[in-house]
Amino acid sequence: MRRRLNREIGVSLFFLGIAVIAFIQVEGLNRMSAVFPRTLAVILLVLSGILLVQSLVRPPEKKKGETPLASSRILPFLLILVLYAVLIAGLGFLIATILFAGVGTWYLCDRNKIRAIIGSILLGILFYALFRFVFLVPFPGI
Amino acid sequence: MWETVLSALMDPVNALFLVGGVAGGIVVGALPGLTATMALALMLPFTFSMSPEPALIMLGGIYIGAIYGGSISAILINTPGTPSSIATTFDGYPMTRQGKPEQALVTAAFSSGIGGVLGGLTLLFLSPALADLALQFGPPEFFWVAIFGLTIIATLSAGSLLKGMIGGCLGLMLSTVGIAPIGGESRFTFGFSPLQGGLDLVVMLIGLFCIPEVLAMVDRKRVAKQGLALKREKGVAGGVIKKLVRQPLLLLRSSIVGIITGIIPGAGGNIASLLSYDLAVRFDKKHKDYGKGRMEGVVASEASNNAEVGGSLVPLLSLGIPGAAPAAVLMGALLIQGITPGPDLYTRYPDLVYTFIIAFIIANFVMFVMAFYGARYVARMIDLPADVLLPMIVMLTVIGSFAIRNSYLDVCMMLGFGIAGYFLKKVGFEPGPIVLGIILGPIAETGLAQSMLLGQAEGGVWQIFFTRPITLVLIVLSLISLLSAVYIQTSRAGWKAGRRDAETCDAD
Amino acid sequence: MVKRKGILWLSLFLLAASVLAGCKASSSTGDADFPNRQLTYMIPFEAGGQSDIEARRQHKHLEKELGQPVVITYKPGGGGSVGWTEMVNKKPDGYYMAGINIPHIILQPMSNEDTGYKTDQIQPVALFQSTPIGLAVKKESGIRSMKDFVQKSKEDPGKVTVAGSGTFSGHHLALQQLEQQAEMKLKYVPFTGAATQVQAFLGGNTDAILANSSDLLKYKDRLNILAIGGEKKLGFFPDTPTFKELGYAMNPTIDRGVGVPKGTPEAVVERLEQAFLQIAKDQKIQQQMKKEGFLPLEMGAKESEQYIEQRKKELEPVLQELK
Repeated sequence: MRRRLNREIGVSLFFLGIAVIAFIQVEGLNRMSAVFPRTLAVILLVLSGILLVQSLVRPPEKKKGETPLASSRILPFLLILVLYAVLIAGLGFLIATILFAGVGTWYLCDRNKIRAIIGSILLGILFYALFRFVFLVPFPGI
Repeated sequence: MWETVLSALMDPVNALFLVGGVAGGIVVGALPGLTATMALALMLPFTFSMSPEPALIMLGGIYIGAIYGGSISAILINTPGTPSSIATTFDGYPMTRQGKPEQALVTAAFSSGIGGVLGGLTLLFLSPALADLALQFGPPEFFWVAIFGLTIIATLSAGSLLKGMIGGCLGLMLSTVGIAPIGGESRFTFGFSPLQGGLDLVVMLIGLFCIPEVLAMVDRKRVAKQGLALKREKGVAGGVIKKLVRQPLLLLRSSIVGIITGIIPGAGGNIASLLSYDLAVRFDKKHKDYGKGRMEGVVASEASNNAEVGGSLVPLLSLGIPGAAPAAVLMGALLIQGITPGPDLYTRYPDLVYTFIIAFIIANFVMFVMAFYGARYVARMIDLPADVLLPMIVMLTVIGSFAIRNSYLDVCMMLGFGIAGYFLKKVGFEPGPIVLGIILGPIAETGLAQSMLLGQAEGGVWQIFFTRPITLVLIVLSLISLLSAVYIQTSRAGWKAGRRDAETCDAD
Repeated sequence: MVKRKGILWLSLFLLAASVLAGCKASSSTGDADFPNRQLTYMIPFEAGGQSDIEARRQHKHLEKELGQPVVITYKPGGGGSVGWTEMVNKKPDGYYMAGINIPHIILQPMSNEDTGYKTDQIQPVALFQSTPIGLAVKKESGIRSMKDFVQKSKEDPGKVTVAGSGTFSGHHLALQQLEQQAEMKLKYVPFTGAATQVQAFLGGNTDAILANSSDLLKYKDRLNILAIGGEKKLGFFPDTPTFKELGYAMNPTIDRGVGVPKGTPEAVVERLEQAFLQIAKDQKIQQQMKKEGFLPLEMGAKESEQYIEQRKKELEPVLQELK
């Protein structure tokens, strides 16, 4: 209950923050550039204000199956995702992709590892080749 | 004239280009990040050396195939292959999770075919008459179209309407990143020049729809060893079509929405499918089943986005104004052939125009046959073990988000917004309203700013928004939509308070 | 156990990766044998647009002239600025070139501080296509000449609306120049591209339109074209006077060409220039362009540089007034 309450407050503060930043950012723009985002910033400010008040005054009813924000299984996978993006810049597309396919499959699988890893890598290379040579997408790296 | 048309259609070379175009279109459409527009642009140089008939027939086939193809990835991996299939994910993917991907794929194929044929018939019989509709929409009308579109938020926000509205607002704000379309100044780039180009819709779609689902599957794997399981049944496809034939009204309504949206320049298949989905929910007594794998949701989206294809060609052929981005590439192809689309196209090149339109209609049948028989095999993809499937999906999202603008920044954006989307979903913010905001933002903004400029010239800034006949119709529609949403919302709240069973609720 | 096996796999992958990375041989040679490998021709706009169509038209010839494969890629965003920013940060070796548009590359760095490139960071190779900008009204408007138009706008200053494409763009500046020179006040309404602009104008939302010659040509039966850019009268609009002929010191056009990053060796620029000019001289291509409403250009690197400099001098004060 308590956790849920805090979460709602956090979310509304997050959106309030976005609204305020947006409002400050459009300062100094010409009228036609500013009118739309400024209106939106005000609307977002009001809406997230209502959400804040709502979550303070009337805590939401507890739902069944409430899950924590991030499970222990998700966090390492998120890290792998971020690393993948970083590696693309460093090592190039194909290598990063092969690494990701291998590590990702290894992390997820609990059956026949070798087959799964080889399978995912082959599929990865297949898709890469399709985009690279048929659709002529110029990936960085090799 | 009809003899030439007939002989052109019977020409085996043309038939080959038609079939090839449709097949290629389906493949490209199914790959996230490769849109119908890109598929057409990729093939454009090949048409330079072709004669006009096969060139147009092939491009028409690609267009149709790609819009259907987008539904494949929408249904199988919750990622719209083209923006036109956004609404297909809402019920198509839940169907897959229930082990019914083949049903969903056949539903999509059949509704796409019907929608496409109706769009083609419109093009054939009503084109010049309807083309003027395209000219009736000026800046104030576009502004109100966007506002009307935003009322769909009520349908798209699963839980709280307030959170749906905040999500929509966030989406609208995300659409303003980059150089202002009317004001011309950079916004929200924080001095980082690559952001001048703004956030790409396709990148955001892939991020917000696919990555959260991948993460959820990673999470769910703790519970169920295998992510998804295909139920193998025989005669699935036939049964689905029998069911669908009994829904002529739904198919017709969705197609009409698609055709009209297509004719309006600047409103594409994505808006068509979302509007039609919204209508399906509102008109259906079982509106609470939507989003949980209701076949009608797929019908509404797919019939409409394929009908939009025909609609978008109406102003192109009769006025030379493309009704959607892919249609603009088709116009380029026509121009290269030395043919200027416009009012006299039908009289100057009747053979070519009617060959193209009839081939267009035939292409829909070709597409249906391919999709119908292919569904069984494509659906097996989800039988792959989750540990192979998941990294592969991520790989596809990365490749796709890079391909759309050849930008590494887009890959980071896609992953960043994908991860953010996962957490937002956890705290009750669905991707639907956010994406709706991103789609409608530019339409709303340009409509607003241009109307203000036009209003200034007329002496008052605001009258222009309320004095034109179509704006009044759109305002009334928006109000009806809004009020009915509030009504449904309050009745839902009442239902929640009463703690009644979900089953009894279906009856009201 | 599981962990150990995982580490084994991980190290195996890393090994494979490093081997592959090592294979990525670096290729660096002098300019004498330029080009000796594949070239990239980047279009900073969407696929299927006019810049793309031009590049596609040149593609086959270009590969023949240079004797190497040329890959066309897209880097759209910010009206071209994203792509040009990318280009000026590439190695100046001539293997990465981009389509350039004038006045875009002049105006963007001036109108937004966060634009990632400067005009003089782009080395033009050649300009091959010019699109004069014209002013037109609908036939039924009763306005038949520039004189009528100026008179009407002077009766109602600021009430005559003109649809154009983009803000701080070629159209926008052309309008500003016209206002200055004819001493009138108009209302500029920007749209996001040719299609939306023409649609809004034909739908009667604006009184006049500033549009590219290629677009005007498509609708010429419904329009009275009052004046058009260009040094001399255009073949496809034989009856339309140019702005200059009417006594206005302006020549609004959009020019397309190709450029490379500044600092590219002169010999390399010359080699590319020679290839592009060879294509620009092709009679068949010139005929096609004229039929579509464009003027073929054959401007080399030096000439293009001077032209850009001249346009910059002309447009800078106009833009300052708009901001």
